[in-house]
Parts: sequence; C-alpha cells; structure tokens
Amino acid sequence: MSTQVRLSAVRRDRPGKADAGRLRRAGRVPASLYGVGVTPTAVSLDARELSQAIRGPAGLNALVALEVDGGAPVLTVLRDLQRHPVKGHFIHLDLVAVDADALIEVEVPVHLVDEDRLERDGGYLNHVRHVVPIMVRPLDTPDFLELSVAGMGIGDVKRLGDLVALLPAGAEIADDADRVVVTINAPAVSAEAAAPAAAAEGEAAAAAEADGAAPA
Amino acid sequence: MLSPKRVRHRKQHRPRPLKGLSTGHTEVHVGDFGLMATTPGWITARQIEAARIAMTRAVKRGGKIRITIFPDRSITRKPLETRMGSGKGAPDHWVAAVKPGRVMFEIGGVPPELAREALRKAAHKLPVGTRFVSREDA
Repeated sequence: MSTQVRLSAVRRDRPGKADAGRLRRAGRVPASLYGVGVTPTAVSLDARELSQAIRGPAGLNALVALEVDGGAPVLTVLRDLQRHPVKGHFIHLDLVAVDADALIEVEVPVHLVDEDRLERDGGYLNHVRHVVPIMVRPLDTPDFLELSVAGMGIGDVKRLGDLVALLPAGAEIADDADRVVVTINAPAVSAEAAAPAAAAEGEAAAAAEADGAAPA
Repeated sequence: MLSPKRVRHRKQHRPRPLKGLSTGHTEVHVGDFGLMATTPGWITARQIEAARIAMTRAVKRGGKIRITIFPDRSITRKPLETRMGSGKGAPDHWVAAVKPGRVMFEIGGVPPELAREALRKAAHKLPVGTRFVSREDA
C-alpha cells in the first residue's frame, strides 16, 4: 500500500518565472495542479515539507492529499519533479489529481533480495530495470516490489512477467512481459589482464559503440 | 582512445566558453553509481582513456563501466615556430565539452565502497570538478 502524506499548498496568483524565482528563494516550490475533477491551478509548496514527503518509503510514488489554501484535500500523485542538476534543489513539479478507483500508471522500484543466495561463479548481477511501469489503483500502489534472485546463475534471466505474482490484486504490468529485469552476466576481466595494451584500445572503442556514445 | 569514425568537417570552430548547465544525462541511468561534473570543461580523449584505465584497474574483476561522454569536437593546433596566418592548423586532438550536471561515467555491479574508490581515481584524471552520485540521489 502506498504511503499517503498531507501537504498544504498556496495558490499562485502571478504565474511566470520572476515570481517563481522569488518563491524558490523564499523556500517554496512552484507547482501545477491538474487532473481529474480539479481546475488547473498554479500553486506553491513548502520545499522542506515536500522533501520530507518524498523521503518516505514510497519515494516519488507517495500519494499526496493536497490542501490548497486550506480547502478540502485532493488526492494527487507527483509527476515530473524537476531538480537542479548540480545543487539538487527543487525547481518545479506537477501534481496530478487522480480518481481513487481508476487505474493509473506508476513506476515502482524493484528491490532485489536474496543476493547472498546467488550462484555467482564469478559472474555479476546486472540489474537492468530498476523501475517497472504498472497500472494500479492509487491506494494500492506498492512502495516497491521485492524480487528474489536466489538460485540464479550465469545466464539466468528474470523478466517483467516474473513480477506479476508480486503485484497487488487488480494491478498489471504496463510493458512487454518479456523485458529483462535482472540477469547474471559472465565475469568481466580487466583489459590489462585479458590482453596486451594494444588490444585494449580496440576494446574501448567497441565498448563505446555498444553504449551508443558515438555520434551519428 | 575514443574518436569519431567519420566526420563531415575535419576542423570546427573552437567551442565557445561553456555556459549554463547540462541538459542531458544528468542522472545515473544504467549503472548504480556515477561521476558527475560540477564545473564546465573540455575533456580530451586521452583523459577519458586515463579515467577508464584507472577505474578498470580499481575494479579488477566484475562490474560494468560505462563512459557516457564522447569526444566529438576536434581541436586544431598550428605547428611550433610558425607565423600566424596561412590558414587553420591541423586537427590535433578530440574533446568532449562537458557542462555541470553531466554524469560522465557510470559503474554498476560492484559494492558502493569500491565504486566510490574507482570513481575517485577516475576523477583525478579529469580537468573538471566532480561529485560521486548514486541512483538513490535522483
């Protein structure tokens, strides 16, 4: 079950970047409220309260009961949280009002457990997909999914389809069930140990290509 | 060392001083930990290679290292003791222009202490300020 937090917001009368900058300097975060049953509204939240809200077990999937100017609480979810890339402070976020009975798409983190019961044989755990998209009722949103990797060996794969049993009733995976979540890769040997320095150069170029780093 | 396979123009205008923040790849995407630039700069292909070797040696076995920058800008240089003029110099080396906030290297499949140590050694090879970041920081 998702964690629910209460936040209070103040309506913004003067939208625009000058006013948004003033709000940020005053320790508030500009935000937009929209969604089911609400008129799109520009609001602002206390940055400290918001920070505490997303530090809970649900993280960014926390359900927010938002009170605008002390009014009735509206059930919302957080979307598009923008942060400063270096300093990390909040720049803006969207709050989407949701219907408690309708399915919404959320991205839920996957936590791996039983890592000590892996049959590694020198291989390493490649956690390919750290979050999975699911369709779920807001109040049933799990904080995370715990996937056991016990008994996995080199070459073994767990896919999105293996997570279905972990979902709450009525929820479903919102992606191709064949997508890989976690796999055990064969051990990577350092370039120095595997080949002389001359060969290492070619390997670096190949690795960069595989990463898609090369320009088109 | 990393360099483009084919380019449309061998010589480019010198990159202007880097202003602003990185708009792309500001989070750890693939690995568990990353090295983020906190100041702007040009990172040469040699520096990227030196950082890669430093990380590979620190990790020894296992783990996956990803380089998420690419030196795609050519820098030209005129020969020594040459008078000014007579056209632009010959391409000398390649650089990646990096702005603050850019995650330059990612590492996964290793314990946090080892990742921190490997990225610390890589950071010593780079001409920009850096910060260790993890997926949880996002």
